Amino acid sequence: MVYVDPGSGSMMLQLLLGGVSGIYVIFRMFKQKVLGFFGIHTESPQPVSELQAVSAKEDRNRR
Amino acid sequence: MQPDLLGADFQRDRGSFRDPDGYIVRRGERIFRVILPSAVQRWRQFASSSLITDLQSDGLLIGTRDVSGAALAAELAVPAGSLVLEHECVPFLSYPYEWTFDMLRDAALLHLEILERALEHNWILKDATAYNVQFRGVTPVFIDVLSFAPLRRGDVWAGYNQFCRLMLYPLMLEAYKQIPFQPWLRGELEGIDPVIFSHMFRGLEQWRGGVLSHVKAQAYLQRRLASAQHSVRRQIESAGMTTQMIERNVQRLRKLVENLHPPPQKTTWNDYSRSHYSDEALARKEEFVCECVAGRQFGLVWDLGCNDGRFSRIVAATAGTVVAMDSDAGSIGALYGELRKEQRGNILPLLMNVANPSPAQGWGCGERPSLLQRGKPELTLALALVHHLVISANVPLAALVQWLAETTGELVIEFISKDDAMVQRLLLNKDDTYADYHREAFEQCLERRFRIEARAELPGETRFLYHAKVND
Repeated sequence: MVYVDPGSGSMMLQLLLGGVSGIYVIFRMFKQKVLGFFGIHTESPQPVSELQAVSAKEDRNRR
Repeated sequence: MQPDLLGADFQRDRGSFRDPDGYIVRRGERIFRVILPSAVQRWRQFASSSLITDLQSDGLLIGTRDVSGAALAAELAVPAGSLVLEHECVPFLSYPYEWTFDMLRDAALLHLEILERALEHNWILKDATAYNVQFRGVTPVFIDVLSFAPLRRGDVWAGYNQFCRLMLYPLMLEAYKQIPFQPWLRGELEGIDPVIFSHMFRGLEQWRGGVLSHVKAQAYLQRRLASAQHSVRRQIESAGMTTQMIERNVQRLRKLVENLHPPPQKTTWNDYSRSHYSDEALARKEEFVCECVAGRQFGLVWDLGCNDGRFSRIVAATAGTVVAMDSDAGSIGALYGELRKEQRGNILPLLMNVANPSPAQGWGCGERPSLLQRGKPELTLALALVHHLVISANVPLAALVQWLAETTGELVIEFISKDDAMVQRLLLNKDDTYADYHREAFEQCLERRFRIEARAELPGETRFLYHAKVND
């Protein structure tokens, strides 16, 4: 239960400080905007289950 | 629903209201934690984990036992399904604005170590307040067992901002800017705001360790995202924050904190005892203090104006806890370092100005109790202190003695007369408006509120010691 406001800026910073994987997460967050900038439009955002699978894979690689 | 009515003996801790999962209740010196039904399952999971066992056996986490029972639950009027825990007692509460640089750094490192270990076990600390750390003597201990939460995939470290405000920034402030953090933390219980703190670093200073990332970037993002209309937390969580990223951040923070050092202290009091007292006078003073406490056993003792802690160490042998206080950061910093090396368990050094002791503050003026509300000392040492309060701080002699009578049971006090070199130095640039500052007036004030048990004159005829007990 999060009762302390983590601060939006502080959370984004944690991604930036998280190295390559953090940048990847940021990219996924803003994927549509980024692709839109280059004129590419996707149908729907990446499903959450798929993202979790990627995260789990990262975790496994780490351990 | 949280109960408002408690049994007569129990007192709800006024600083324990933020966490919706439970709260602290005191009965005399005993500390109880009520775990509300919403958090019971989580607590049971934590209590049966190897994490809590490891942390407690290494002395990092406060000892806790489950004392839930029908009688106690009824007496505490807790909601059905709650648990009641009892915590090991911390002898004397202290707060970050009373700690030295090294004490705050040790508290920060303790927090990070616990967080690292928690992450290894798939747990996380849901907050990061410096107030979750207390000191038993000179050993920091983490006191909030409800801070532990199971780590869910995608979780962010919600306490990062709080860690910066209450631990990292104060340490940076002193290490990088040579500005003591205590007044800031005393004035702002939530700690130092990133945006305000970022104004302190310009030019090359921005390149000092951690400033660009933890201060400047955080301030920039805080400003940029202040008006965000969506939950950044949910967005990040669904995009897949990983444990690895939190761990990496925590490890970097630990290295950063380890490399922060206090600026060299110019202390007024270094080697005070030796430079202001002859060997003979010092020996007599020590002997007098020894005689006052011989064959006695005290609970709480205060040493006001303790400087190098010489007399705190003497009374520590006959006391449960000695709180050694001085307003000089250099003295308290050095004392903390020495006591850490000596592994002394019952002396707590604190930065405290007797002319302006910590007030009660926070929500309802009760969240953080004042120095005086945290326990009445049975014995107080006030050695080489009176002249500072009367002549430097202009506290009237009678008011000082009255305050001591209201504060302590017994007193070992030193009076230094006006013709002493130490007092003369304080008067160098002042007009002598202290007509009542003389030995006879002091004794009269003392005898009005105390019974003098013993007195002694130190060689030199300008310094006088008294052992007094407050009138019933």
